[in-house]
Amino acid sequence: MKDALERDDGNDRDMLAAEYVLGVLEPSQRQFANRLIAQEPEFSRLVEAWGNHLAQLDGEFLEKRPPEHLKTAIEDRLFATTSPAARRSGVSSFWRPLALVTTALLLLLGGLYAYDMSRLIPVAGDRLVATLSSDGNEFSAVVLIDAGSRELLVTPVKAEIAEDRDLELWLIRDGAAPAPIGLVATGAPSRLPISPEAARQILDGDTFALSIEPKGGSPTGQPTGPVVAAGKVKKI
Amino acid sequence: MTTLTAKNADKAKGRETGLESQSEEQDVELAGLMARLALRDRSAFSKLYDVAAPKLFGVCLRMLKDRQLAEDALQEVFVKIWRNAGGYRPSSQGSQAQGGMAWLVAIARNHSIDILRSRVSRGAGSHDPIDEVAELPSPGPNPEQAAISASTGRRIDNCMEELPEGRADAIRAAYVEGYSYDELAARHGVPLNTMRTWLRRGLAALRDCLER
Repeated sequence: MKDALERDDGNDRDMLAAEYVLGVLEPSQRQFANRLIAQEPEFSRLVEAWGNHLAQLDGEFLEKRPPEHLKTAIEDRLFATTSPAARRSGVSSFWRPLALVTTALLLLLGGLYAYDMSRLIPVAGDRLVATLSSDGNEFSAVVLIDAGSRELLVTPVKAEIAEDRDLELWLIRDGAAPAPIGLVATGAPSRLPISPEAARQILDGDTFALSIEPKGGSPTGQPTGPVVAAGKVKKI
Repeated sequence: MTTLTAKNADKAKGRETGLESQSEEQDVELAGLMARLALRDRSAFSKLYDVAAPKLFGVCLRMLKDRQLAEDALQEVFVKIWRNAGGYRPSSQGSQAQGGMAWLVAIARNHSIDILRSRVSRGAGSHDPIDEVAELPSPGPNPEQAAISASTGRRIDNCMEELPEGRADAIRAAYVEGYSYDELAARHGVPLNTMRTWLRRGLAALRDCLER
């Protein structure tokens, strides 16, 4: 079986990808396919294509509300900062509310302080999001900035462009020329570095826009290609 | 988001149904939530759970056919989602976009399949999952759900209809119920190799039809 699977035959690979997505493989074959996904981009593309095909059957799965306690259990598991031993002894259930109150107070104080400094500077913990879309809906992306962080996350939802072009992100404020932020990948989320000063200047109501530019970005420092998606920044 | 809604509504006019754009809109929401998950945003996780948990619990329940196993699986699935949110690629060059919900369902299906296969390989597969199906509440799809199912699955449904009947059933049962080749062969009363040949021919025909 293994020999047959390892034969580098395009159709065999495609069938293996289909069987993998379908889920009918035995554990050893499944492991083999998992290794191929990690090692061979071509195989991983086949798996993705079959995933897209067969996802059309997802409508067969009917929604069923899980029991309420599950959400708490998952969030406890992911976000609890105490050790499992402390959790078992019940220590955390006593301290956790206190810790939460303390954290909230600190955040509030920090917030008031920052607010006092300048009404324009977002307080620590602020998060700004912009949903970029186009008229025809061919392009869309989500931009997210954390006030404290030095990067901005751009997740393209739909963004197919010619191979000899790049997508460039711009910040546009009323009355000012667009400021270039960086180049954005089309197939995966991009993290663009941003200085804390620049991050502070991004405000509720500003606009982010994506334009199609020559490879490497606009040669002029201003958008030269068509602006394909834009959206306003909102504080969340 | 309001402009998006208006756009989707416009777009829907040109289509037979607006349901597809509804799921597109949900995918845009999910993509936004996953982008925030990648930045370790807990409130986004909470929202994502509220949006996606019923569907993913439906997946685990249908495939594992055991409430406790499904609850445990759902926990693991959301832990994976939290850890892998940065790996979500809404679209990639040369392939069609993968919707956010489809990506999440794939994680839930993969996890359920891993559980099913490891259970069989440990020799605990002797209990007949079919008995447990009867114990599960199995609400028939209400008209709305049936419409959604019909809308999102239309292209594949047409292609499935072109296949010999048993093959379409086998593909659907493998995808939705998580049956292995062994289980499919037993259910159809044919040898394992025959089942494999059937299914592969069915898949190849399905691919040709879908890519036509």
